[in-house]
Amino acid sequence: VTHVQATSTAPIESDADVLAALKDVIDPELGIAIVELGLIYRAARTATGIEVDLTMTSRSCPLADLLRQQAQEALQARFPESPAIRVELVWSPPWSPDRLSPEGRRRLGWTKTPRRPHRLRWFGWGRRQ
Amino acid sequence: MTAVAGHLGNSRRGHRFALMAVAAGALVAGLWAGLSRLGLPLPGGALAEWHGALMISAFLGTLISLERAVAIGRWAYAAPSVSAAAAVALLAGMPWLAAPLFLLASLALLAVALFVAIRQPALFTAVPVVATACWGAGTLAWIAGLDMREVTMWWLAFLVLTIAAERLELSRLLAPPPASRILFVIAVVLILAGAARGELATGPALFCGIGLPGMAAWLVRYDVALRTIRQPGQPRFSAICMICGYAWLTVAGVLLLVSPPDSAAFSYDAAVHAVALGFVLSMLLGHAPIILPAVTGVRVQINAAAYLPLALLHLSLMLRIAGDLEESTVLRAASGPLTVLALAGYAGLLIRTSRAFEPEGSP
Repeated sequence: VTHVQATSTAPIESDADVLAALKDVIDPELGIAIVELGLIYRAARTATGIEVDLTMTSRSCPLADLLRQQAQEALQARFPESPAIRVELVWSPPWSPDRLSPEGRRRLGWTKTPRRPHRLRWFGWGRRQ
Repeated sequence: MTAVAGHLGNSRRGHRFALMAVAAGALVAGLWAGLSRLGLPLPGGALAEWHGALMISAFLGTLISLERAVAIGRWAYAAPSVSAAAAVALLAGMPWLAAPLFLLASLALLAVALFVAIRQPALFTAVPVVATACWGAGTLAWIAGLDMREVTMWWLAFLVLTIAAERLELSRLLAPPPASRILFVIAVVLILAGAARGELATGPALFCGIGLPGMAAWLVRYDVALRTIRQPGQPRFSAICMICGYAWLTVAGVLLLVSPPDSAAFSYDAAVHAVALGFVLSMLLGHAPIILPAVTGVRVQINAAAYLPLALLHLSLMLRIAGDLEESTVLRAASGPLTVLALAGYAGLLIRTSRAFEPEGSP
């Protein structure tokens, strides 16, 4: 397990207001916001409007269209004046657990401190959650 | 324009509804056939022979391929469409037509799984390829006229591995150690070996007897369900459905070891239904409220009442297994209607809470 720095979970172009508007778009299986899961690759406010790049944890996830629609609705509600709102589904780079936010990790019960070495840790059995 | 039209488009939505309707029809017919098999005096007993094909291929095969099609789009709809056609053929009393159509559907789904696996090579994309191949293998065995128990074993492998692959995908959220995948692969190989040996037809079922509890242990250790159970509402309900399923998967393995499929009148029945009702249908109850909005555009809500049908499903299965082990016709016959009641009650609950997507402020 690589414990990456929290900064690497932030999208490349991240507008705080856009991300805040997406806080209530929740993955229904996990009960965790898509922002916390690191599914937002880009959240930008440009002169032409709002542009969001969204990914899924897997290409075979049938919730993609639904979550994109919900993101679109949330942004429309928050930025009714915006000339254009574009939420696009992207697959590159593939999602990885490194993208989880600290809050996402906390909700999933990740350990906060590095684990002590253990022979069985290779299989994850030595982990204390 | 409503959100429904924006989200799906009306013709595609109609197509999905039609496929869902066929799957639901297959479920009803499959349950009816199951009740006939338990000895309830129902008309249409000819259907009883096709209980397994209706439940696994016609109902779940169509549903699983529809779910994949929703994710991939366009050409991937070939699999659920052909599978639905096969289901209709089976319901119309034409198994000779249904079987090759199901084989075709499994090949179409295999193409979808391969498409995903080639785009993103990983264990969690490779396992659905193997799982779908099991659907095809079972259907080939059916066409070849093999013992229906051998067919069922392959089909159950299709379901178990499809679900396990989905959970493996989700388990990445916990960043499990890479070596944990070796344990997962061992469980998959054991289940496949059991299917290849036709363990349900011949017994003793050593490979599945170890492979199924092995898979359950892996899932208990690495699945997100034990974490998402802390999130109230829908995630907790789904997690409990999954965890109950893992318990039944373990029970199925133990049953296969202590009471091999050929050792008593109903030992086969007990193991098959511990997997099919305890693991697969329990998972389905948890999964339905998540997937229905994505597939149909209809939003459903889970409330505390949903735990009643879930509890009834598992109670009815306990009764069923007890009846199987005791060889009690009365217990077995009593369990069937309770299982159906649980599913009907759950469906009623979903319908009662359902509403179409209506964005705020739209007319």
